[in-house]
Amino acid sequence: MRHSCFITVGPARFRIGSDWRAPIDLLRSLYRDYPLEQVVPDFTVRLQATSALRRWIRPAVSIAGDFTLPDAAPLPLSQALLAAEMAMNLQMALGWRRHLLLHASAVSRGGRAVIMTGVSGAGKSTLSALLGERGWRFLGDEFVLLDPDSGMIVPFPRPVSLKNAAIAAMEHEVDDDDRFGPVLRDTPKGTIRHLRPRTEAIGLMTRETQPALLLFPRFGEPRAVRRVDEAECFVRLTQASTNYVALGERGFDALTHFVRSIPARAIDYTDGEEGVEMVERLWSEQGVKAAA
Amino acid sequence: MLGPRNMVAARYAALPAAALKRVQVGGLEAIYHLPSGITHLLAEPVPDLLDALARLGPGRFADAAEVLQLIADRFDIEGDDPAEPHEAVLAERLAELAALGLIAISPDK
Repeated sequence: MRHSCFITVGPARFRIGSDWRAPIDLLRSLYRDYPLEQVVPDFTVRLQATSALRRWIRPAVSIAGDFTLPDAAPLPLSQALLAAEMAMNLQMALGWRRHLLLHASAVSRGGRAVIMTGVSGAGKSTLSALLGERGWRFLGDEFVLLDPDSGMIVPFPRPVSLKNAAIAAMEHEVDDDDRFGPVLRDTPKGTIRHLRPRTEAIGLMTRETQPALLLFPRFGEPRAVRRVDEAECFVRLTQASTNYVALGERGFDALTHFVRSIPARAIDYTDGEEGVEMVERLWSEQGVKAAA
Repeated sequence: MLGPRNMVAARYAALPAAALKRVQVGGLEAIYHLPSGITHLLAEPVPDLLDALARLGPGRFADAAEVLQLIADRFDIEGDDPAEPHEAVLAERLAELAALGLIAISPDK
């Protein structure tokens, strides 16, 4: 690879190589608050030209790395940031074995975490980003890493991948244009813009937190709260985990302990404000003490 | 282990204790089957059937009638068809558990 950089997010170390300089410069800028020094990487990701000529003529990026999806369509070079994000997610989803990986977002307060899981579009990412601006520590918008030995949550606070309507909502919330990446239009996921988490959240990303509340948020529905029992949590989280089966007995132990140790609620909310308010309310109702 | 010559009913036994990890999650029981790495989520009375066989001890085979005796004081067994004998209902459940590999089936049935 002609150009490359190293990025550490939480416990995961990536080496990103590229045929072009521009995506590496964009990544260095977006990840400027993260450790970028050269390390032995857990994963190597390559953003490569689909053919030798393609590097110059209407360049397109294909993703290569330790793990690849054979059908992944190449993206135009202008969407290389998205390609890098998708490639890094893919490496985590398919290759990470040190923790139980849950497709979820998380925030914490006073050393105790709220974990929010749901299908794409349920609003878990935007909700975590909003809470991260309102006194909560942002732990991640895509993956929650559960340590099978300690039962603790290990932060993975990559930049938030804002989609479509969530972009304007967070631009309104964050009064610092410098924290946003470029607007990526017409991607397979619509319009995308990345938001760098607050520097404090990145600075604390090696500090584990104790899970305290599990939520299943659903955006755009009339307000409702429902208790979710342990069995339903267990089933939904096995589905939300990319490596539950791969972890075998460790995954089973980690997940059964997790669902038995914390309360869970499904919350429906019409907009971000209501979502934030409902999380705050449930947090106080659970009697979860915010220490400092 | 040889059963009586006229015995036609299948006989079942608990697996060695180390083969299953069982954890109560809400109203169900999550069971991790170590030999296969497969997780099962089962409702009662299945965990009680496993308990009954486990109490007999691994390798000690019992047929549906005998298992029925073991759990009769705790359950009212009833099938979809009220006329169906309890033993037959239980035999079906035991056959399902054996198919899942969660209990052993006697080779000399």
